[in-house]
Amino acid sequence: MISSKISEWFYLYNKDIYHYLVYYIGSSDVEDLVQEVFIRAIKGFDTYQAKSSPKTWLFSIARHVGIDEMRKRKRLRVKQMIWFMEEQTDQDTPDEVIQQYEDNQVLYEAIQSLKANYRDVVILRGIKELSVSETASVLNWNENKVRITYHRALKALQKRIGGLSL
Amino acid sequence: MKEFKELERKIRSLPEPDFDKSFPKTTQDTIHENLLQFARSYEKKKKRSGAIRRMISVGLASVAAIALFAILVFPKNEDRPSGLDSDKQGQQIGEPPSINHDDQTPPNQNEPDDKASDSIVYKNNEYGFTFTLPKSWEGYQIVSDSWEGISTNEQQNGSMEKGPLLFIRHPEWTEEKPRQDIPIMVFTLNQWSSLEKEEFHIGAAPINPTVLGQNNQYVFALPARYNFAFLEGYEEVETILQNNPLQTK
Repeated sequence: MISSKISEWFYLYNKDIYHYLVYYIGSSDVEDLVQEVFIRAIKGFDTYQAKSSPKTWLFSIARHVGIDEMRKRKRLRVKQMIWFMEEQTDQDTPDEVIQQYEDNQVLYEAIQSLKANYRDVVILRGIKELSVSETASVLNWNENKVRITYHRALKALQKRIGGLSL
Repeated sequence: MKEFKELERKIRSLPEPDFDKSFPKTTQDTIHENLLQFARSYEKKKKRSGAIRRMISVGLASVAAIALFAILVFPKNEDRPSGLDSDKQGQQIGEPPSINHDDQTPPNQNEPDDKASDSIVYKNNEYGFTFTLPKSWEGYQIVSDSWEGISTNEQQNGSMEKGPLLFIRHPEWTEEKPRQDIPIMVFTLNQWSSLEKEEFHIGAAPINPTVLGQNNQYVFALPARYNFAFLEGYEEVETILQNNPLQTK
């Protein structure tokens, strides 16, 4: 039964999907996108056929939802928020914490400025800590390509961050 | 990867969202409830369309059996046109629920690529465009349907815009194992202008169709989230679309 499977997967993976989309889109306002991921999963359920784990299948759907959303935002010229800067608060926040927020912002902006396949692999391997084989399944790459691209992505990221000591 | 160990550590220490604040249990439960409702209505819809398809198949099989019987039993009828063996590439073959190929007759022949390369071209004279496909799509079908849009103007009370929706269907598509179609929405210039001004919307997706091309009468566009079902071949279709396959006169 689709409903029972989707129900089970929703409560197992909704936070992972939410976390992934927050970083992909750069905003915490992604509840509707999480819903869209699972709606697409319902519609595509017949083609799933357990070829991959439900987690990686859902992540690959989430990635496509993210791509669509980014295109829409680009078209509407929606400025990308750095969501964790929304959490920055008041004057009582210690300097070290503010510095940490700023460092996170620099790092996040550097990740977002990478080209698409580098950004994909950094978010999946680096932030979501998916394994090489899980990442390969999500991106429909072979494992070697995941390793090489991740390495190149880190190199590009290091270059962008430059001499900043984060 | 030791050289990047510190960088990886910093990436991993990027903060997680505060789920209790930004994605609380109540929100999760609401989404879950929405999904269950959607799953129920979607399964009902699937069963209904499956039943309709079965009825149509049975009907067609009966007609075919009667025709065969008539051919075998009655004297030869020389005048019967044989449409079944003219299944040439590029001719539109409408599916029973959406047969609308009156306007897609021989002028819309497939043009074999004259450079003997690895591509073929679908030519549509009615709307004035061509579409380049890989040679592996030889034997494709054209399926006609229509798109509908609903007015956002309250005074117009949900009035509809309509237009043609053509699907280029892979030759290996079957009902049991459907493949990703290439959908092309056809808008008049006025309709497209209205859509851009958000005077009507199509479907529930918050994203407008993507323009594939335009001539002095029509705009051709790809529906939003057209590949949401991730059918076999969706990645190939993405690659085809990246190469600006649609050209207009």
